[in-house]
Amino acid sequence: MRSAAHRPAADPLTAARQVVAVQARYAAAGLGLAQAALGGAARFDTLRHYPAGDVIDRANASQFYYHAHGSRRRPAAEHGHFHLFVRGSGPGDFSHLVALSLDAHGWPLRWFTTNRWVTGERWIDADTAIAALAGFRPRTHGRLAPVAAWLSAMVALYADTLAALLRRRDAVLARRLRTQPAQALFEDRRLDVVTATRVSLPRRLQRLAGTPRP
Amino acid sequence: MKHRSARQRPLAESLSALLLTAALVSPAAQAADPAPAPKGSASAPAKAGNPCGPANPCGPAKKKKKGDNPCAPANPCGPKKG
Repeated sequence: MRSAAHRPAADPLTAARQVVAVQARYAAAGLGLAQAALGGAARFDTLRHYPAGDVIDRANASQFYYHAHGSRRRPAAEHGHFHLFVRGSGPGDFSHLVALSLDAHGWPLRWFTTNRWVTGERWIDADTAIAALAGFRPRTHGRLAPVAAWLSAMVALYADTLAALLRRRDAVLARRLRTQPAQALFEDRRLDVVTATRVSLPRRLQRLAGTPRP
Repeated sequence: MKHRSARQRPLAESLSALLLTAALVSPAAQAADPAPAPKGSASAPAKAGNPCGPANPCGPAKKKKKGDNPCAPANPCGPKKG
């Protein structure tokens, strides 16, 4: 796996400013991140990747896309979710980092981790994923460039939450491994979302800004 | 009264503006099942999402059912379309 630019992640205040700046630009045009993630597509089809072919930044070993599909664990308010990956240099060498659900207005609902079969990834442990997240900085051109910048900033803003989420994922799987063979566990179709944590972006931003909650 | 640092102030200001503007954002349309593909062609999501199958699209063939990995990333090393 390529060690994506392991530059230090943006500090939370800088990341927060970036998140707000991108959302404000879209909001001024009447758009939320959920709409922006579709990149101007006329239709939002179940399971289809937005953009088709994903955003892949080989230089930063980062990849993401947005889509929607049913799941027993899908929050009722979910519009769709981003999947974030770290890419290796070899063909088919990718690992899932985390996923982020949005509501129809584009506000984040939850971060979650997935079981191995969901993406067919090369599995990496929490510590490796956390290190890769620090380098998650997909850059692209065109209409999805601000979405990519927003996602990078969100990862930096929620770095502590994501580290805890990934460690909890490993703990859940380690516990299950005591009673289930590894292959069966990682391919267990009943287990798609391993861990999830609900988030309130406005609250996190308000806390960082020192703004009292309404 | 809570004191904000000089670094917090710009965030507080832009955040208040965002929360107001965002209230006017229209909800995005929900995902729908894709329209049925014309006879004889592959289904749209399978083509766009996972054209060469899941897991290891460029590696040695490992027969799996199509759509086995619903969230697999796109195959970056597949042949370019069009």
